Amino acid sequence: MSKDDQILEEFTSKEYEHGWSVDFEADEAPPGLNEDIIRFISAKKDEPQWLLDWRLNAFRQWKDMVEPKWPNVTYPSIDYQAIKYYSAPKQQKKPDSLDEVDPELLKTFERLGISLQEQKRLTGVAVDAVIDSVSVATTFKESLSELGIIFCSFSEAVKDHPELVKKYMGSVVPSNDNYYAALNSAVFSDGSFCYIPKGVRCPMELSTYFRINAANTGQFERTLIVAEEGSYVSYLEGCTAPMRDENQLHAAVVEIYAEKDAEVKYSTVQNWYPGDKNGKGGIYNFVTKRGICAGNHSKISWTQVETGSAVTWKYPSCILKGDHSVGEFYSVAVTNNFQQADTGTKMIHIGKNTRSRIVSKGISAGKSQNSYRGQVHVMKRAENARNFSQCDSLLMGDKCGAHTFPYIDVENKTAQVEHEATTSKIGEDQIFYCLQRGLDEESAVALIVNGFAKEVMNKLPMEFAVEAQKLLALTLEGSVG
Amino acid sequence: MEETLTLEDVISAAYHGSSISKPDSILKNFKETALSEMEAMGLPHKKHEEYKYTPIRKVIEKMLQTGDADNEYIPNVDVSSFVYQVEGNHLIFVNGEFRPDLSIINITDGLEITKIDESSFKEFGEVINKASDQSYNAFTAWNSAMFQNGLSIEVAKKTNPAPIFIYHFYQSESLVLSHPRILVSVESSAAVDITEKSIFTNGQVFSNNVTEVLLQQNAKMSLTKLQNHDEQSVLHDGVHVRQARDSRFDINTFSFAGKMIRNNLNISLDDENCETNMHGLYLLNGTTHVDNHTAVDHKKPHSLSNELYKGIVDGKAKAVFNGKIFVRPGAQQTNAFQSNNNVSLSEGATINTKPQLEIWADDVKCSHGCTIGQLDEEAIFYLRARGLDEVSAKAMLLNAFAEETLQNVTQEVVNSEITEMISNRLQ
Repeated sequence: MSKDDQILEEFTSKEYEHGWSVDFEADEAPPGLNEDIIRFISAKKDEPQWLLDWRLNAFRQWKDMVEPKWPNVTYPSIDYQAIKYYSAPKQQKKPDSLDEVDPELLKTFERLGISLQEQKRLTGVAVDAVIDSVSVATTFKESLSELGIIFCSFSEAVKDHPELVKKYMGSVVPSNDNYYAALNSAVFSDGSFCYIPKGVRCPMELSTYFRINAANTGQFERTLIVAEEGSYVSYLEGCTAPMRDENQLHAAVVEIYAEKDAEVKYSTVQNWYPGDKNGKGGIYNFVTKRGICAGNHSKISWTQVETGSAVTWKYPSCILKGDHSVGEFYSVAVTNNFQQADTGTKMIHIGKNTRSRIVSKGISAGKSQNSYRGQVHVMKRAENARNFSQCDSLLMGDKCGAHTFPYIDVENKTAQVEHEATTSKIGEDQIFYCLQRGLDEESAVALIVNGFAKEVMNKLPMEFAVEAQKLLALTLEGSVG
Repeated sequence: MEETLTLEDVISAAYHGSSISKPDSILKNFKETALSEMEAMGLPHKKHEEYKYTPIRKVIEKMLQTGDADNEYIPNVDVSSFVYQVEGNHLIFVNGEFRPDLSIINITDGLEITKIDESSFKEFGEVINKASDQSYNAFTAWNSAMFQNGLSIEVAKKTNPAPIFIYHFYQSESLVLSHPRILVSVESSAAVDITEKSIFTNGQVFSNNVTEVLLQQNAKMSLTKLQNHDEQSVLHDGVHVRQARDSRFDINTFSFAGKMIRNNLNISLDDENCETNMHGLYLLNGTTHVDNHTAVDHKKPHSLSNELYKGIVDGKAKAVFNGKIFVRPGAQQTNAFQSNNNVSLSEGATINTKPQLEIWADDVKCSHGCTIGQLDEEAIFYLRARGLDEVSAKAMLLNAFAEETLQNVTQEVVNSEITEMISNRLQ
């Protein structure tokens, strides 16, 4: 075995570090999916009638839909009746402060490196922590509410701000948008809700941390972000799951609504359990994320670092409806072993002078398959629309694949659209250059990969960039192609 | 056509009702297999991913509704009015059938030109469908079922025969359904240059062309297609190529007019060190719809493919481009480049492009790029500042834009015809 292969071997045998699980008492629904389960979830959460109707309506639509087969991924079919659609850590009552939260839960998040205690003030991130189906704690609520910002779990929002939820839920991703969005709309358990009032610049990063803990459960959360005129918010999302042999389903929906002059920045570091090195287990990550730039001069920016999940199927999109609105998508997707990722974005230009930018970096290693799938659509009245897309792939080893499926549809003559893509491996000359200057092979690769992904990493907020860089290094160090 | 009949039913009925389906025919087995394959696959609907932007099925259905093909009509062909006045072999197809009697075949060193019909079919039983087996679709099957009097060109080892010009001549008082079939086989170390063009005089034409090319070791072939059609005519043109070691294939496709043109180009690089160059230009106005689907399959190491398609789209025309590059596991050291540039000149023009890469090998250099834009205002200003009026400034820039796609057109007479067509269009 050559040195390269050894390093590659070492890297492929690297364990997933968040693979433990904790036993706490959980409140669960029996496995299966029918209208009674949906009523059960709704009743558990004490929801108003309109929301139950909305769920049931989505469920009825879902029953008529078929699972999409067009993504470039293969996996055994999912038995939707074997999944538990509700699981929540048992709690006597809703805690008023963190001191009342189950210490076991707090420890769980500390083990993940996410302290829910207020010492996080130092880094200035407000966290909404979601375990399995339920939001367990939200920090910094008070100081945010002084500015009029609402940041709470989705269930609380339904209780405290029903008019906002009613107005915006489903406005960007309708309940019948696609198979998984419909499923989510029917059974979603919790998630985060965030509302930034007019003219407010959110002083800290808002963050949701998702953790799947229970076995055999699906996680279906919903995030809704509403940015009123002239507001700004930067939102982070992180996730991990225990190592289990069976596959678990995660089908989330994220909706962003940006009014005039508003700016929303949404960053994700996705680190669900990717399965073991033989491709056993792992999370199916089928997520619908979409934002609408409804007002003029609004901006939505997606940044994602995708390192986990057995199968990923995710296209954070922007509908550029307002004139002069801007959509951005920055992505690093890393796949290893038997992971499969089919990810990309959609930029729908509707308004005049809209601009979008797509930078996608795919890194495949092991026996993984990594696809970029994106659409840039310039509608008839989108005068002077401008798009630039770049998607680069890096292949490590000769058993992995990198694929690109860009759709470019232009119906307006003033549009200027550019797309470019390259696929390559790490050049021997690049490594040689580094070796000559005293770096060992592993750090040379790390350096080159970091350079490859830097354009996207730079877009991440500070707090996340460190974690993401660590993750990237962990997943790829030493894998010389 | 009655409502309840599907397009496949109509085609099948047309087959059984025509003189092609002779019960004692040596072709019977071949044709009926193809017919049932066509029925099983079905002509692609709009929902079909590969035909998403090109509703050709609907267009054919409409054409068949307007009238039946008139098989009795005898066209009046004046060959001298359209053949190029150059040395070479000039092969004539009339309404989809090869007509050796009208063709000018006089420099046949190294060449064997045969009509594929009842009497000669058994020679081709092995070769037919060989190049298209991986890209076989309902249109190919339809052609297999319906073609009459195909053309086979065989180029002998180590020869470099005179150029070949193929003319598709169409004339009818009603509808023409044409299914030309061409087989080209180039033996090792031979080279051949083929130009194909269509001449429309009268009638509404749907033509379902299938060309199959087999290149042996170190063989070379250049194919240039001129698609300047009648505005009522629809073309589905499938070119299927298989390349053996060290071979080279160049194709140049120029699309100017027609109601709908769909080019399917499938190239399979079966062995090492192959080279493929694909150039294309579509210069569209009116309501012309042109769809170029190309696929290059790199199966073995050390091959090179190079693709450049350019488009100038005006009026309410629609241009579709889909380029696929596959690099199979183990096809290391592949170089594959693909580029698609478009200039949109009018409000109503639509451009859909999808450059697609699927790569399963790591030591490769693959890139694709595509752009959609307008003429550079500054470049126009520069020329106008030097005394050119706006129209000629634009024409000059567009000419320069288009010219790059002409570099592989080796036949001078064809090259200058295309150049002239481009500049006439851009005046």
